[in-house]
Amino acid sequence: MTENSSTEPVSPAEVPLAVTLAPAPTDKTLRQRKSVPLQGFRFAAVSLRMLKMIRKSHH
Amino acid sequence: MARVVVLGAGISGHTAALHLRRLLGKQHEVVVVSPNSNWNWIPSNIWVGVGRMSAKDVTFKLAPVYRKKGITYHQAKAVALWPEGDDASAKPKVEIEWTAPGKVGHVERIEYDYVINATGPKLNFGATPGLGPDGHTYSVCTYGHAEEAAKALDGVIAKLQRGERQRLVIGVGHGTCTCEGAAFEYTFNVEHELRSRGLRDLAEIVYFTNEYELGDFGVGGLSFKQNGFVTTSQLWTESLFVERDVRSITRAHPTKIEDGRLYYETLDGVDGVLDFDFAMLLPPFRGVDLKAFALDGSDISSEIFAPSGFLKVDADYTPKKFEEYRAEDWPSTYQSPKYANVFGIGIAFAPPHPISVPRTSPRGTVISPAPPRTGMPSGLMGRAVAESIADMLAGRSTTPQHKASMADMGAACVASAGAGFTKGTAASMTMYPVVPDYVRFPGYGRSLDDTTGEIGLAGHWMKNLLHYMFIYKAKGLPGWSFIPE
Repeated sequence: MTENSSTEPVSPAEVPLAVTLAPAPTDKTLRQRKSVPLQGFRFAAVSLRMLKMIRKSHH
Repeated sequence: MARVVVLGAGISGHTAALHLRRLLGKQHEVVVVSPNSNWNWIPSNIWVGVGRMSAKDVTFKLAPVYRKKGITYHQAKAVALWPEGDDASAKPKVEIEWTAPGKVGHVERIEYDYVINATGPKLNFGATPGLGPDGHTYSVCTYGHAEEAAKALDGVIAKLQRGERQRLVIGVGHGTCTCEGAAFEYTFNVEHELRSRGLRDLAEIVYFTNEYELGDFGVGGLSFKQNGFVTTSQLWTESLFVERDVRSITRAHPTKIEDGRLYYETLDGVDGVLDFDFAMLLPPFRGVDLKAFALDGSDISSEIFAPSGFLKVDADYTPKKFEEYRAEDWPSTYQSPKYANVFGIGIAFAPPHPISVPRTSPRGTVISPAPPRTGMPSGLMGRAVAESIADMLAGRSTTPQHKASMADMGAACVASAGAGFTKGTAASMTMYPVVPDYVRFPGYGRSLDDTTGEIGLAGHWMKNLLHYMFIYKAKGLPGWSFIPE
């Protein structure tokens, strides 16, 4: 990913994007990530997942 | 009566001290030695660094908590271990130098039956010329550093408001840094703050990292199931960079930093120069300046500390190639192999090797992340060592029985990508185990059922919850011990 090979200062436009082929989220995905009701459900799911992780890690 | 001395009051040391006090009878003394009078919930320092929180939101005074709990507190830094005793007596001792007002510089030696080295890292800004608050870059490693970063960021925002273009470089200040997750969080919190002010178009944000690929995070990246596929943290992270238009320079090691200019070397041996208007670059870590002496006064530091200054514990330190790394190399009891009453936890223990693939440039410069060992793993180590010492003092065992190997524990990580109750977002990740075990989990090294990741507002709520929950726990308030590490 490193593409700067100059010893001259890099101009703002020359620092590359991470990877242009990476999938960008759709508008729907972005809306879902901000939806309070849906994220409330995801919060519960993430909490349960983390509790499971914690239980596995406490010996 | 026994005395257990805990050196350091970060996540691992403070957790160990609270559990020791809970588990040990009043006839035993628990002593904490820490140079800073405040406890700091470091994961929230990134919010101090963007001005969303103040230092007082992420800290509290240690002395009142320890007084209430019956823990002896010395505001001092440990400078030397005398594990065989000294001229005065054969009892093991730790030499401390006070930092408390009125006693600054006063040196004394305190005896111990057990000592836990939880001194955390020395922030090694000196490793890269020009790095750090005394040089030309900012840091969020301490709440004081984060406050300075926030002030500088205010200056950048003022310039953006005047219509001046700005380049912000955020990442790591050395090829061997760890805590890339913190740099990632700060990057996206800064991006979020600028966007919310309508200033994003004038700002170029560059994430500068020693990771081979985005999403490595010092743990060699993650694989997890998503929508019927096994995907990677690399793809997932790159997607966020594309979405937020954050640029990146990977596989890089800063060689020198001048005012507004960063010189770097890459893994393929190419030199580069990058000008910046604001830079927050994390320092590499090494062990604190703690020495060790034998009874006769000879320096035995090299016997109990690794060259990095971290304490050697029950790990397999035999040099190995990456392909030969094994889960069993990682320590589980954190007991020093040389002195059975000395333990090292949190960042202070010497890891046997990296987790990410180690790589060097053609010039021999190491450019790959060191293994992270903060947060949940640190707390688990603190608890395990406290329980082992309590058992040994009670005569229930003669060797440490409680284990907390990073190859047999998971970690829950919530990486903030912007704050705000309805506008915030964060990447919530779980991984099990932290250190990949390709024997138990062929192919990916980790359980695909327990290694997960998702981005959304829920993650921000989770990070907020963890902030308040862990400060509550660290204050030792009612029910604290029921909150898991």
